[in-house]
Amino acid sequence: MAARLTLPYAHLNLRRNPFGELPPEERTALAVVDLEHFREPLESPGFALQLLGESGRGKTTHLLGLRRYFPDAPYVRIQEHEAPRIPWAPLLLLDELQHLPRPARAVLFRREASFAIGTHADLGDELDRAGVAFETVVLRGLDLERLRAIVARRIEAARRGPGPLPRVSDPALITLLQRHGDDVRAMEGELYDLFERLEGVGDGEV
Amino acid sequence: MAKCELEIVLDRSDDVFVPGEQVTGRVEVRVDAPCTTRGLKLIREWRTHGRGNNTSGGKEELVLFQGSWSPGQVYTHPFSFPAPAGPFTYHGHMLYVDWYLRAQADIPRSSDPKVERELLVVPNARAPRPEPLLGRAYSSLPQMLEQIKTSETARQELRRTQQEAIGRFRRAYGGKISGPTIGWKFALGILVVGLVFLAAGVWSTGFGLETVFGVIVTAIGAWMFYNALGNPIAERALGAVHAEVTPAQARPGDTLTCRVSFMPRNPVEHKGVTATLVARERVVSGSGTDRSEHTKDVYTAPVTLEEPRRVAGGEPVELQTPVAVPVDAACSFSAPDNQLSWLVNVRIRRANGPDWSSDYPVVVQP
Repeated sequence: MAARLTLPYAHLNLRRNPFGELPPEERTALAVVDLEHFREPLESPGFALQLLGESGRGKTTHLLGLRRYFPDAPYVRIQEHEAPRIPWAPLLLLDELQHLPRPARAVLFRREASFAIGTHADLGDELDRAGVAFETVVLRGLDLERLRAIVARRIEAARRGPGPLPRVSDPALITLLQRHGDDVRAMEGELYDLFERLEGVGDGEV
Repeated sequence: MAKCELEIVLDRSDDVFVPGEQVTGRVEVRVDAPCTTRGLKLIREWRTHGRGNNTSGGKEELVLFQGSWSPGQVYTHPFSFPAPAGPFTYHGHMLYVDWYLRAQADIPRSSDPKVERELLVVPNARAPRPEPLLGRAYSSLPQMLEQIKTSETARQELRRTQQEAIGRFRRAYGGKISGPTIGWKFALGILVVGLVFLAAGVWSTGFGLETVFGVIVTAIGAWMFYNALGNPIAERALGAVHAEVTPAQARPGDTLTCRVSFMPRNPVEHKGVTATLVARERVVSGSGTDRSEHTKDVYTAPVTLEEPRRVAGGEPVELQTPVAVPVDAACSFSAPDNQLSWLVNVRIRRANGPDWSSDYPVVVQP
């Protein structure tokens, strides 16, 4: 059933498949996001950063990326039909906030806190009514340069030792962009399978 | 900037250990600046990686040293511990299970240096056979579940001795015991949607695009619904089918026995009876609305119980075949969002109508 057991992905000079699921702390470290300019407003209560986008566009990655500046900020993912316990903290990282019932959101926004929100639905009106200043970042679109950075960072983070690593060529990245648009999660799935097939360090083609 | 660098060196070069075997080695500390550690720890744990959400367990810590290190020196801190009993290292496609050794120095007012390496833990093929999880009263999981449902004695016995066994079976198999692969409710939903489009199409446009769409969806829904009810429909032609796979727990290299029996009331033609041993990875990534489940069969070995033939009405059919578990079979593994399970799929292919099919889980343990 299995070949002789060796260290995982040693033939690729990697420790794991770079495009597998990552634990949240590692996802934070690897996030290719530019949120530096929101650091200051999020330090004071009464401000919200709303990250709006469809599935797979990087809402969670952006939220976790904020942990670089706010390592103690609690991250709460709100599941459908569940009443989560949202802790008290100066900054709350709230994912899938559209699942929280509207009255509960109204109560939440009255807290003396700042909020970074990941949501599929625009909650701007509710933030307005609650008197919370906010900015909305619509996560849409992905260019070759950013995709190249995401892919390179993921591969480098899985490095096993010194020496060359597998690469994903630019034509392959362009194919992924054509095939999946800005859906990074779908690309990760395809790249995962690609790295499972690779037999040695070299260029991976999709 | 860390004041020192750590390295884990194992005394053996191949990194492969069997449970209970002594893992010996040392943590080497190269010191650049004077520093004091509140604890140089060696942590061992298993973790999953791959397409599923990461899970870990079996964490144990050894404190190797507390005190000061001087710059320019290389310090050696030996360690020794027995290799863990499991889970075993597994490198599949969507699921990987690995053991890790992590050395970490807690240094006040400085970043904590750490280093990690894998440890490969494999079953000991020469270890004595453990006590079976299941008692002799039950030859297969479906039989056991059936008895639990119907017998108070069996329920008491289960509570006393076999609670853990059924829990492990269910976890290993993700809760699904047997039956058709497409949910009948889902299939019925597709059928209803198709009929709604069909009715709306006929009502509004006669024979327009909506009607064509309705016909296609209705046909797909009807086909799915028919197949979803596969076993009851198949048993109308085949008679009641009894199948079992024994034992329900096996070691790599063991042979299972698969028995199938049925007796059709009227003549019936089948296109072959097979038992297929399958190793299936099942992982879950994300959660909530982003939750995705991925499955992959990483091992499939079909065995034919009977070639296609016509069975006369009233003729009892009793079939039996050995099913070999490969010598290098990976052991069953079950953790949240990450599973490797073994099962035998018994299938009676029918010339006309849906197949009869049922899955029988098998726990593979060393």
